[in-house]
Amino acid sequence: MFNRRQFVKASMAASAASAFPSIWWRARQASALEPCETGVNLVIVQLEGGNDGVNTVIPMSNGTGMNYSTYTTLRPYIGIPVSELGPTQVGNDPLHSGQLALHPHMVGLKSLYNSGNLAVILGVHSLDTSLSHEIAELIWYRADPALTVGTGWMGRTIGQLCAGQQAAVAAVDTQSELTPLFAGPNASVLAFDDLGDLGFPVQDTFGSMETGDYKAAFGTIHNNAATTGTTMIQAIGAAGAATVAKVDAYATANEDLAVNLNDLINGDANGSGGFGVVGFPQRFELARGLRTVFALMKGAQPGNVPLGCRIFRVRIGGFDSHSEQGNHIPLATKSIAEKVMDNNDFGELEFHGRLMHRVSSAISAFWQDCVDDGALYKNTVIMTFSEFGRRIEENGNANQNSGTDHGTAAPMFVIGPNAVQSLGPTHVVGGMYGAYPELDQPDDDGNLVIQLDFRDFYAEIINRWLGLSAPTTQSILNGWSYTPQGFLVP
Amino acid sequence: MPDIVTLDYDMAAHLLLRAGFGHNGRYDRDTGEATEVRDLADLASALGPAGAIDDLMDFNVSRAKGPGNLKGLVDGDFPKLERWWINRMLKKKKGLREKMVLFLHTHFATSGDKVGYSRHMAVQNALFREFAVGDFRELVKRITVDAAMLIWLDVKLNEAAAPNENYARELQELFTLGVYDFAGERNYAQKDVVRAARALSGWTEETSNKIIVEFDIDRHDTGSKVIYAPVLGETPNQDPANEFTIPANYSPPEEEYQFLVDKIFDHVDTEGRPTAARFITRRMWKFFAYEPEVDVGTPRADLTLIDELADVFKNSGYNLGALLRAMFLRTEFYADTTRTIKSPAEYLVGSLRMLRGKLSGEQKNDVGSDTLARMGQELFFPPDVFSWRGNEAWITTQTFLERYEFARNLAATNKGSEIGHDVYDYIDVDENTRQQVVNRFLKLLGPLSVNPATNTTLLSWLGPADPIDLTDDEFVDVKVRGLVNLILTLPHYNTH
Repeated sequence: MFNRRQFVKASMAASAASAFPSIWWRARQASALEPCETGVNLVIVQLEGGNDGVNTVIPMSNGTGMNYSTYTTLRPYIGIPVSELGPTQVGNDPLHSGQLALHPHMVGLKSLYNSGNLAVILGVHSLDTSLSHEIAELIWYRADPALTVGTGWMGRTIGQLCAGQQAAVAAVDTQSELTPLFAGPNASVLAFDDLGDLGFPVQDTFGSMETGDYKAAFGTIHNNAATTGTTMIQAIGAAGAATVAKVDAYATANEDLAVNLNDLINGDANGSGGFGVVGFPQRFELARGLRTVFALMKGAQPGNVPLGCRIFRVRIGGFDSHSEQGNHIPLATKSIAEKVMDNNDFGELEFHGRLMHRVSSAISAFWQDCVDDGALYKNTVIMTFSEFGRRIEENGNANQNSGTDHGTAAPMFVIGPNAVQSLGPTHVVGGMYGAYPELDQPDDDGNLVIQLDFRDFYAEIINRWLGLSAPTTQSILNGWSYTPQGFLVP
Repeated sequence: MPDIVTLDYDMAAHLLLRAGFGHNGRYDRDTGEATEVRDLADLASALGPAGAIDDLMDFNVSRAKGPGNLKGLVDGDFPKLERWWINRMLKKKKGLREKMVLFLHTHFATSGDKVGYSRHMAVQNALFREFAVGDFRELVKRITVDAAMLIWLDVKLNEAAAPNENYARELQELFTLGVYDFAGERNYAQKDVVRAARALSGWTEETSNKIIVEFDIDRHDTGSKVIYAPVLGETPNQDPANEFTIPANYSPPEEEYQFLVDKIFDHVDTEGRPTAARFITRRMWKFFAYEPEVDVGTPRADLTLIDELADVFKNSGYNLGALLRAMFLRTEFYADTTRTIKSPAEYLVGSLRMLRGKLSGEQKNDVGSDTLARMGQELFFPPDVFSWRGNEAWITTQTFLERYEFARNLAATNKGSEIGHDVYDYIDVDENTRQQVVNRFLKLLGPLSVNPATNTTLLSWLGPADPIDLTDDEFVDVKVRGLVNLILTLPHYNTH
């Protein structure tokens, strides 16, 4: 079997109509923009498997409700003791004013909260939901609870941003197959899981000396076709020609530039904050994905020529914690043996807690790299999502076997430049949004009642960060009429 | 004369490609021709083009359904079902049958996603096979009470007390009439959907050991329904003669849906033409030839073509075989072979057939559910009710990458591996010019005619000058296989 080789391939444009982002953004960019660059970066982080929201943002007090009491009653083993939550306390629940904290291992995100870069959006989900991974994922990918539309919300968004731009690569999906998130009318999206693997798909197939000749032949034929023949022929020709032109540039993106992420990934025996040893790459799935994103955002070497791609997806798996979700072990008391145990994806210690640490440390390291860059932090937003949350009450016998089953609403994070930092007018307003679902008022399945429709979450990003008009945003979301939440302010 | 009078080699190759998945790769080294194509062209010389086309369509009604007639099919084993169908596309002598199954699957886009049961999808697939060249109107009746369809479009949820419009709408919008006719006028109003839904109510689907589809009179709306009366705000120009009434207590009630379907086929559009005939013919022509230009507001270059074919279709009693035959006899069918982009199934199956390629092991398992899915066409899982849109929709960064990855694997390796072909099948080692080799493969994989610049590029790939040495294994392995790869990735090769 041949190794997978990836190359850039732009798609065809359907029509010339396009929705241009706000003039202000384009005017502020010094260098020439790729055709469909919005001037801002968006990084979509997918937590795969259904993240346990109730252990991600955790009640510390009841306020006018019952969240804290219910939490301690229903989660005797996996519940995090309130004595551990002080250092990661964030804002209060907008609904019942109870105090809330991030999971104690999310030290990095807490720091971002302090600096006004983190918005926590509570209780997000789809009203018309499913407890099946695949169906729920499709709903989130397509922003379509009825599942009648075959395209992804980001595919449709890129379709609007890039209409008429055949040669552009609008987004990168950092895994080897394109997720349905990007399925769209003319989505030019590149998918690969290893930047080092990037190359024309006949690399070494016909002998290492022939590769250049083959690429040249391929390029000549497609360039020629791009200007001759039927519309179909020209479209395929243009796409192929763009591919050959791009592939070399993308391959030069340099992952060494992500200093903080590399420190995280290549950490020593104690790791950063005590989470593991060198040689267990599965721990750093998210960090590696973000490292690739950072390299692409920096652009092609030398001279950091922009690659033109502004939208990225990374993923981290393992959230389906039906059992052995684990309890909490304070960092200070972690033994070396326990830290080594953390390397395993499956184990009885802090299964979910380790995932929380990985998400927080990877995103913070990425953000720090953007800050150190001096420019990238000013126009980059990161958003997280998961296909559903988990059951309020833990299953099992209140011991290390306990876990949680599939659920519904969960918190989402948005990280980005605050008002002072942002390059353009749009910025993140840190704080708490939505509402913490009432743990003592479950639905018939014992699950949380949604507080915010996920399409309002998406809409704010499409409209305010990516700069597409309200009517366009509404059409991308299949007619959803959106209510601004305020975590992004134009 | 709109009809062809001869069917030469090139036309025969095109016919085998469009009315199937391409010739079977058997090759006459002396003539440089694919023998199946030559045989078809010779048959046309002897019997006339119509005779050759009749031969293409000469197959028995098939009820083949699923691996081991579904005995071996564990529910949910979609990969096995997909592999079974792809194998039929690859192996069957008369490619038209499976091509029509693919058309009908695209047309009645039902997705295993929602249906869930692979057995249901296999049964539906068998229904398409049974009617591949049969009575389309009858097929519409049968599909209305098909178990997979009952689940897919909520037919089983549709009852008198709680009507569900899903199927009533799609039956008209997607399967028979279209929302708008060629003049841009609506064919039916919301009222018609509601009332059709009432007529379709009462069907249930249950699956235990067997699939059970039943009619329940208690869930059926027995009231009278007036359908296709002109509605001022929506269908002001509806032909009043379209209006019909299903009487209350229609008897037998379990056949009320059949009466409804018959009446739908009687619908006449605002230009006085048979709506269903036009709609289906347009779909068929798009699938087998190219997207026709028929709408008001365009030059309507293909209007006469489509209307003539629609008349044949209607007059034959909506017989798909008759329509296909008429289509394949039109000169327009052969006029330009680069107007449609090959679907993933056509690209993959065609490439394997025409090179007598072999799949085994992991590749054989992968090709069904995975390779085609990555190319954008997962069989039995169309993306939504609007199905695979075809043409430009097949081209995205990732899907074209998958084609080229597949092409590279097929071109570069020999048959002994999990995927490959025997390049020596198609060359003559005594030849020694580059153009001879290029010509052989352009003819085999088409025939494809390339412009001089592209031809020069292909020659240059083989080498700077003649003579070349085809007895040199390494040259053949690198350069000739590389040539095959280049041709499989030609823009022209991706169209037909």
